Amino acid sequence: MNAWKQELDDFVRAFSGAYIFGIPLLFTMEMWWIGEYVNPWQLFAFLGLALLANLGLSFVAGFKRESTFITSIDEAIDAVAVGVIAATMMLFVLNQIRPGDPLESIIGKIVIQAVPLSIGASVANQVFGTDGEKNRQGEEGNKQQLKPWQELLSDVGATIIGGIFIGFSIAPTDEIPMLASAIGYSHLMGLIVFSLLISYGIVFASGFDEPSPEGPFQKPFTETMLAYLVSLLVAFVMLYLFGQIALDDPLLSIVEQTIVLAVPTTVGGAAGRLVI
Amino acid sequence: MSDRREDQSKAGDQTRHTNNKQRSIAEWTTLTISVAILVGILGLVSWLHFSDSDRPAVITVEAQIDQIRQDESGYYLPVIVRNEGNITVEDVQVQAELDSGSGEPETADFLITFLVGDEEVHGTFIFQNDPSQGELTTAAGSFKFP
Repeated sequence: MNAWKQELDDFVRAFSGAYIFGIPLLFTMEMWWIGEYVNPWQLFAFLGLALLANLGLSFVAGFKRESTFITSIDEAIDAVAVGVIAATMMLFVLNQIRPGDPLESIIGKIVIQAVPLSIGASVANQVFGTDGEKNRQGEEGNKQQLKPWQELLSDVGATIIGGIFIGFSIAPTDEIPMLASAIGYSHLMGLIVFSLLISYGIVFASGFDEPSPEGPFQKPFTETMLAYLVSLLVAFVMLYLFGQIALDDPLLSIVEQTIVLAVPTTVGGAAGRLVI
Repeated sequence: MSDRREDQSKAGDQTRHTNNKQRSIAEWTTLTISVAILVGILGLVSWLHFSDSDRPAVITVEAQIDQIRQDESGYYLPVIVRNEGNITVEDVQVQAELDSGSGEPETADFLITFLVGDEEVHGTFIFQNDPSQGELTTAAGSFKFP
């Protein structure tokens, strides 16, 4: 395989793993607050902890499928860098870091979130990578017997279940109305694009799952769009069931909260389509 | 069984190949970028650590009298609250009192959950009388350390 393609796959897988494991903490206000008053020496400790944890993890679950000591150091550095970038992008899209904010607040929030995100990047392969190869071969045997409509039903079902699994712990929290009230049009558009990219990344580009050529909804673009619509619906229903939104609320408020919650339900849905 | 053996032998080949191979340009590039990100973030944290001069929190409240907006529910007075120290404070109570000369003075307040050093937060007080006509006092009433 082309070396650049291999690197790209490795990093998309790392980013996907980071978001699958780190998304609940990205939507936790205490994590944002701790980032605002944490001392620089604590940030050093958090970065050290992230490097050590990832160094250890890369021996057993490296995202580059290698396990010598030198490559483990490489992987630990890569994983922390992925955690830092993943945290920066998500916090920026969620409007939790803004260009005019004090530097210590921005750095604090990013470093705190980078710890779980980097660990997610490292364990990405443990759950979805080469160890899953045998399972996938088994699944392929079953999949071949499915008709296109069964494939579609299976994908939609997995998207709903995965979305509920991750979204259930986030939907009833105050973070959703809090985030929704502080974002504008540009952030809403950013969240939609970001959700689609993550969904596409997790299922198709990361090599967690092989796209099946059969069926109208097995094309990457179509499946990503369909999955996002399902994830939006899951987000809306959960917000309604938890009483976070009422049907007579202002439409903008309903739309904003649904789009915000659709980020974790999309991540969960994409993960669900891999697992089920 | 033979498939499994074949798989194992393939895996072995792959491992040997991986261990022996030189790092590709792509790997060097991504590693360099990763190291740069890590060094950058460590550099920023170090800079924060060494520039930490512990200025105590000084909370100022600046009323934007020229931006008062009026509608049937009252006069909306925007304010900017700043922490001019470099220590983060929690639960900052921002208060305003307007004495328009007739009757009891009007009071209003709001709470800021966290105010980081050098951060500014925009808020609004609502009065029934015009703040630009009366005697207006704005101040931070209290805060605590997180």
